[in-house]
Amino acid sequence: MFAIPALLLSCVEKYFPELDDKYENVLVVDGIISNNPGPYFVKLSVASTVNTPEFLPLSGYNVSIIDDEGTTEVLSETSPGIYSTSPGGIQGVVGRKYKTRIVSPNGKTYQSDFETLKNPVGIDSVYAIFEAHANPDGVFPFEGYQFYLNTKKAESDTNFYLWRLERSYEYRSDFLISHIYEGRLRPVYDVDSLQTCWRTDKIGQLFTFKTSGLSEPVVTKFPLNYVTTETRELMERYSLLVKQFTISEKAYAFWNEVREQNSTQGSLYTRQPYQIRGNVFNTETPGETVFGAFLVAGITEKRIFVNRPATIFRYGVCTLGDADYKNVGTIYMSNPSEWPLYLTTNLNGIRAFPNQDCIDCQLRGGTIVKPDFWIEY
Amino acid sequence: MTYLQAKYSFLKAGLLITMLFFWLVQAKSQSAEIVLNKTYDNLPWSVFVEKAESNFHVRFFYDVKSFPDLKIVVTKDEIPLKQCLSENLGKYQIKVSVDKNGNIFLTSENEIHTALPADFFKLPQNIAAGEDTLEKSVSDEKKFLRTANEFVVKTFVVGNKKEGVNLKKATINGVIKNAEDGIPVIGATIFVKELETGTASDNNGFYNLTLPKGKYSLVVRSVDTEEAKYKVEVLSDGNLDLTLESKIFLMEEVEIRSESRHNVKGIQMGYEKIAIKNIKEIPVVLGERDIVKVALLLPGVQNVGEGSSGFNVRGSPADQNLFYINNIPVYNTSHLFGFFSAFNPDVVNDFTLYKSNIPAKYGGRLSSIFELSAKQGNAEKFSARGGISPITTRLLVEGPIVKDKLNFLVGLRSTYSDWVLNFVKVPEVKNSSGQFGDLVTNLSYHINSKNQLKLFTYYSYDKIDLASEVKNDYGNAGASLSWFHTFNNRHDLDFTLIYDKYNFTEENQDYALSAYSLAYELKHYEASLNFSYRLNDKHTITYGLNSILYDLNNGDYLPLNSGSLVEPIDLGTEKGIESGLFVDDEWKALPNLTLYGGLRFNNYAYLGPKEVYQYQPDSPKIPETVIDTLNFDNNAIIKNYSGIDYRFAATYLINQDLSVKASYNTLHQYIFMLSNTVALSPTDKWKLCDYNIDPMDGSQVSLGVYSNLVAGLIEASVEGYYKKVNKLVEYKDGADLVVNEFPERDILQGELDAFGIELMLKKPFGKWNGWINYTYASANVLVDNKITGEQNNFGIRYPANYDKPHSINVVANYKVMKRLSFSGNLVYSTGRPITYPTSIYYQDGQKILSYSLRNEYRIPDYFRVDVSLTFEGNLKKKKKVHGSWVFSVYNLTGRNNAYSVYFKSENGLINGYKMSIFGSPIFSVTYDFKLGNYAD
Repeated sequence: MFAIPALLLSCVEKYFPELDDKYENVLVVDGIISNNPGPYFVKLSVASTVNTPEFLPLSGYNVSIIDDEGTTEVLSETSPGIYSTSPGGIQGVVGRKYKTRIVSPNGKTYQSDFETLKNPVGIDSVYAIFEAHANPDGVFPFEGYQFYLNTKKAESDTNFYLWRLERSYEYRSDFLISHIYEGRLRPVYDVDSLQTCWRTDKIGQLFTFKTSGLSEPVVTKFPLNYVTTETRELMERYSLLVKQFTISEKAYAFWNEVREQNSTQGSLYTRQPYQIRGNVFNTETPGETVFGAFLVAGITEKRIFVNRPATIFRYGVCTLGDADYKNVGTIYMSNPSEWPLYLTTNLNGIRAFPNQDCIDCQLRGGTIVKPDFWIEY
Repeated sequence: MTYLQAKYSFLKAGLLITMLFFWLVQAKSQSAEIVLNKTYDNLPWSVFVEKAESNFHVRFFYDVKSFPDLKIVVTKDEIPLKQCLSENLGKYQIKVSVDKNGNIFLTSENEIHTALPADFFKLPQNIAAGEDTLEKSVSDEKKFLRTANEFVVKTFVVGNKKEGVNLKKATINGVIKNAEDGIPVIGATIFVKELETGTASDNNGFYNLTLPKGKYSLVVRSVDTEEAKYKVEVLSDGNLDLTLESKIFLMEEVEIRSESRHNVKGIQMGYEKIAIKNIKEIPVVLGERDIVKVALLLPGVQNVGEGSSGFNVRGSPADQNLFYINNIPVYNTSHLFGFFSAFNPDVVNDFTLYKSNIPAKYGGRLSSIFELSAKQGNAEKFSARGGISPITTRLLVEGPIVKDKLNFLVGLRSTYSDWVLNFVKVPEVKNSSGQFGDLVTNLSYHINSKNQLKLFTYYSYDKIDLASEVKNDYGNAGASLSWFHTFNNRHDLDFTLIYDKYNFTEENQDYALSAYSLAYELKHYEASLNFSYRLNDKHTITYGLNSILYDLNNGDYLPLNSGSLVEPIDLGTEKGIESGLFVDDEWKALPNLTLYGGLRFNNYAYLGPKEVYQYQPDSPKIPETVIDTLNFDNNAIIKNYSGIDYRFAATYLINQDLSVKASYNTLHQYIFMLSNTVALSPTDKWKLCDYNIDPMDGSQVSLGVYSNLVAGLIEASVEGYYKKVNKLVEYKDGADLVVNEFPERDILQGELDAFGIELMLKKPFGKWNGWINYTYASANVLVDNKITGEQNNFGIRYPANYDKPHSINVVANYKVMKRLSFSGNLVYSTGRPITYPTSIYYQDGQKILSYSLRNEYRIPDYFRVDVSLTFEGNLKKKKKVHGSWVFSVYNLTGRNNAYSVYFKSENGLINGYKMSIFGSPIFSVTYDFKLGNYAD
């Protein structure tokens, strides 16, 4: 926030420092147990470099989840680096304590401390308000839906929350199909079969809040994500699934630190970043860097739907140009690996071969299969 | 013959040649006796002088101040000038002397022998011989104010033979004043040529010299004025006020001197003194001349980034410096987050930085003392000056209320609009505003030669509004009242009462749910009593005591509006008394060895009313380890800490131009700044050491070699130091200090180790002048409490945020012509340390960025070149207003120096960014004016 006077004359450019390979073999733990029914997963990997982010699984480890009543379940590696409890195995119970224990193939032992599975606080409501937000680079301000959340009243005064969001949206491509080419051009009668898609992703933004110091242990109008009309997300119907994790103070500290660091601006007036280590440590050499955490959480969920807002959308729309008409002939020279290829026609019945994502909505990341949870307007 | 002697001989020869030239020129035109006619009758004296000087080749020399207000009566036509003057002035007991050059001397007692001894123009083998002969013609305290600018040699007799008959040595003292405005000259040096010793004037312009009886030539110099030479005959103890003049047409030299005390001979090391007059030409950002920022061009002084507040002196954090302006401590020294310092450059006369051996009268900070001294009001006449830059306007008015008795100075600086912000397209900036200002008043009352009173006030404010989301207001307000008293010529005292207040408020609605307001206030009440006692010419003893009452109000954390869920928190008050008792002695043990020893006893009491938590001993201070809550009444001593500071220094002269100095210092600090950001922010609070937070203590040892090269034209020094700070206040990772009821739970006390070597080459005078320095430095921090098991950075030593191993500063000034000067500087330093993101890992499918160990990497190196051109208005002596223009380019090469490097996760990709504040050359123009001529 104090960076603004600096913006006066400042300039910002992309910059990647040269780093050495000191941090290339660090163990990463990503596990959870909750009140939701299992199976539960613990994923093990090594950290990747900043420039080439990828999941680098660690196989052959002995991973177990242990509760405070002496139950231990050894997880089985279902795919490389992903360790799972069995469907009839350990179940998270509110009030009990859990920890994980990880033994590497060469005998190094890592574990977390016991943490209590908290009673999940309910979500009262999730709602969207149509808002305009400042757009520093554009001519027009952003418009779109800002999502908010209200929790139910918690039992205790001090609560620690982590929210994770999953969005789904229905969208359409711009052109109908007139012909399909798979070595041979033939007309298509199911012209809108590739026009409507649904896409579901996790939103890569974390939200955390603690209710200590509030007059009442209720969170109201907590701002979640903002969706603009600059993309196709709001063009038909949009759904937001909010997962509310009620967690321990220690876990909150970890996730809050991670959230703050991952949204830090380049100001000299923000707290300095630092290495965040999770709750898993090497039992013999506690100084060893281990990233990630084994999360013990009480989870509640809420899904809402919003329809297309009545406003102007600014995403790019496909139009047919001269080249699209001229290019029709090029489909005969196409490689079979690119098949099927689709054509569309204009109002006068003239064929055109536009970018395929103007016809096939699946090329924009969705699927034509309506998700089970989807409720039509 | 030493270099120094050679230099003086050369100067002397030059002077004589100049006088000879004038004599030859004038001798030609002077022959017949001047005769006046009736047209001169009934003219007022001043008109008469003007007319006579314009019609004849004559010049009048007389004391304007004491000269009677009279009209000339010309009794008859064709009367010789001398006769006419004698007739008119005889009744006032004014003697008239006319020399063959047409110079007319009008004196109230002794007649002047205008004929010079026959051998005067011979270049004397022995300088003193020439001076002895001059002594006969002018004696005692006669001052001749001249109607032309020429050099007059003055000679004075101090004391009398009768009093001095049984004495071998005598002490002379007095005040060194500026001849034009009567303002005492601080830090002027007096060099006794024959003895090759000297002294310097103190903060009141007072000096003191103990000499064997005899005849001496004194060379008096100061950063602000021209050199003056005095011939003195010391017969017994006595008083001698000396004056220094600033002469316009002798201003070929632009002086850049950061040490007025002798580089080689003085006891001080790691000492810098900079006068504002001499940094006029240094390039500026946005047209704001900033004397304090010049400190960054000195060796051993760093900050975390341009445009940030705070200085890091020799590896210490910024809260280990103590800033004084005329005895008022300034708790926030910056405007606009540090872009500018909170001191109007017109008001500041000079500043002194002690970074090595700190005199025993100072205490309470571990690293350095920045002592700014404000100008005193002009004692002779009213005057005003001011200026305008893209950001601020400045005005300074000064003058006598009662001439030579009571004078005042008022200096004001203020922003006048936010028009600069309107050029920025970013709405957040456009909707922001930043206003600041400062005001200084200085009233001094010269009661008599033994007593002087000074009342000084300082006020500064900042009002910052960032896109209406964050509002920061902060300010300093202080006053000091000093009484300076001289018991006798060996003993004097300085008693000062000080009040200062620093406060800020913040309104933050970054986040509607937790929109809050916050206020903070620190009050400082101090009384200080310093005595200075010159036992003899070998020992100068200072002693005294001071006591500070700190009264802090951490304020309330309040919801800003009805939508905010913030629960009000009263962050409480704090009180403490810090006292110091000190004595030191500067001892000229041998002709070539000076020793300094000082002791300072510090006591600090943390006072109630307060509720304090007691934690389990030897455990981390967390809510779970609280074992008791203690309640203390108002002014009850909660905890008392005391410690002794040792200050030692020695200077050994190998020869007149080469010395070795060493010093060892220990210090204690009882107040610190709660800050865990890289740079200081305006919401950082000063916090007292308390029941749970121990005072910091530090020690420093320094060793240096100092030399004057090329006849004193170049000063060279090498100084090395090692510093250690114990109980350094550091913070747990991610600690939130803005609203923190229990700071002790987020504080970890560690240690700081710093060492370095500083090389400095300086050419203080000449058409070309400036300096170049190189510093190698290291500062690192360790937080690893073996008892409680608490660590920062997992118990691994890490570089301090401002650790910059290599730095080079070059400052060069060139006087192109009398009215045009060029100045440039070049700054290089290693990039500051930074914690970089090193890895990415996944949690529930989401990418997470992870960082290195603390300060494991560095941002790119820093490099900058600035230039400026100063055009002075004409140099006429008689003019009402003098103006000057300063054209300045900051960051000439436009290098994008990294202010910070940061990373953001955008659309699933981690992007690194480098932010530069001044990423292109910044051009600015400043206009300055003042009443009077260039030299006024």
